[in-house]
Amino acid sequence: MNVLVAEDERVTRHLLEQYLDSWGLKVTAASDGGQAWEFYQSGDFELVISDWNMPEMNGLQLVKKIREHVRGQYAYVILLTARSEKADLVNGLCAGADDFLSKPFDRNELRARLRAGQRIISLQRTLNERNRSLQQANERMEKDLAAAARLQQSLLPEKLPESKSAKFAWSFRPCEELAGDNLNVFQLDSHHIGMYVADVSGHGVAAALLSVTISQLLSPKSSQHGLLVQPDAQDTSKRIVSSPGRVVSELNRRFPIEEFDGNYFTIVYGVLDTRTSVFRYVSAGHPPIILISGDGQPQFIENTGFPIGWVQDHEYAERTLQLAVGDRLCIYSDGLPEAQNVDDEQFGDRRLLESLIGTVSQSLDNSVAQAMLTIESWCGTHHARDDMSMLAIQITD
Amino acid sequence: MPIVDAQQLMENLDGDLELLRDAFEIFCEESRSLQSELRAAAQANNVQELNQTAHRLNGMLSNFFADEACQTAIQLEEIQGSDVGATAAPLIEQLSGQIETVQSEIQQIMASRGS
Repeated sequence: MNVLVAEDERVTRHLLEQYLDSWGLKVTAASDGGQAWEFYQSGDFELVISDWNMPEMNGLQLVKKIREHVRGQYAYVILLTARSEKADLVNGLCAGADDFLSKPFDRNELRARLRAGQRIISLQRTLNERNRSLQQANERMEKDLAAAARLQQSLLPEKLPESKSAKFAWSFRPCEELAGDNLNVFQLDSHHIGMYVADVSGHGVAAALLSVTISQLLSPKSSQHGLLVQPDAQDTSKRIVSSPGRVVSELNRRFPIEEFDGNYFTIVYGVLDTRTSVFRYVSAGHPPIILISGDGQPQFIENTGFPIGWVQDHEYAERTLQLAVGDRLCIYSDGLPEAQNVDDEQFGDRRLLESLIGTVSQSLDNSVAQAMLTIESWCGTHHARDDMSMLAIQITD
Repeated sequence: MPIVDAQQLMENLDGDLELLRDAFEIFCEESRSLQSELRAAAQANNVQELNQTAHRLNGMLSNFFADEACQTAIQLEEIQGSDVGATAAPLIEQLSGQIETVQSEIQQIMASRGS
């Protein structure tokens, strides 16, 4: 261990050097405070033993400078002093000294105080190393989270299906880097468009991993797995669109809650037939769907079954909505109505409905964006506790 | 009555006569020049220099457990006022005598312990 000794009086300095050297410490000695400060800045000293009264810079000033000088390793400072008044000790401690030793110092007392200092330095060193490791781990984790968040973003609708019969709009606001929510809308065949909004319980990595798994499974690119489309029994060269009931029941079979550490999810999965404007869907524990008819009449349509994973072999009832031109459907996660303001008051279904009705004359994109802005404005400085996802459909022809 | 507490001195040095001899050599060199500085400061009525030099002598003497000499040095260290020369002169002479005694006693300690 490197020790810096600052002492203008030669006999004391010599004795200190000899004692410290005999105890295996590497000593650098300065004959005044100014020289000590120069040595300190260019060296790697974990222990400083300084006289109080010195020319150029006294011990108190040296300690203050050492404490102002930011570096990785803490320096333990012992002030040597003939002063023993309380006020002096208080001044020394306030300036940043760790310990005192009265002159003439006793060799054994010096050694004991050095050992106490070495213990603290050793603890400090361990703490620094652990902090460094934690910082590195944290940096790695942040990078991983950022990469995972990019991956999640890439699973969101890249390009909306183009149809003269329907328009689509969506918005997705994760409350943390990684989200438990996800949504998508995609072409299944020439006249069927599939869509879903899912919300995994909890937050963080576990919820996000499950969310990504669901996204992958419900991706049209993964349709070869036969979940969203399947071979026609009559003509295996043809593929037919799976019914929402079949898709959701299959999800329920694959994601039992006990196999996913208590995580489950809610989902609305639906298929729009663009030829007939018939929307078939299943809502598994999800918030109600909002239907606003072309003449502005709103309706909440409640869910049809338990969240995915709760009840084994649950039969999910499929619902059918015959939509008309001008109708808007809005599927959203519970993060929207449950968003809280600074007084912990929830935004609620009523305000959400009012926002959507209030913008019914605007484009679907604007209506969705406006609803999200209204919720954000409601939350104010209150950080959102849940992800917010919304998917909207408008029948245009 | 000796000025130097020989037993405490040797205990603190852990019986290391070589270390005592080295410290003593430095003490002899330094005390000579410090006494000269003390006299010059007193003649020049430089109270700050006088106090500072006395403080160093006190620190040096304390290493040899020479309490009586330390007390005289402390008196010089604490002298204040505009005409310090007159007040300091007898104390400086007293301290010089004590330093001579300290040197002589340390030589005896070293001789008696085989250095």
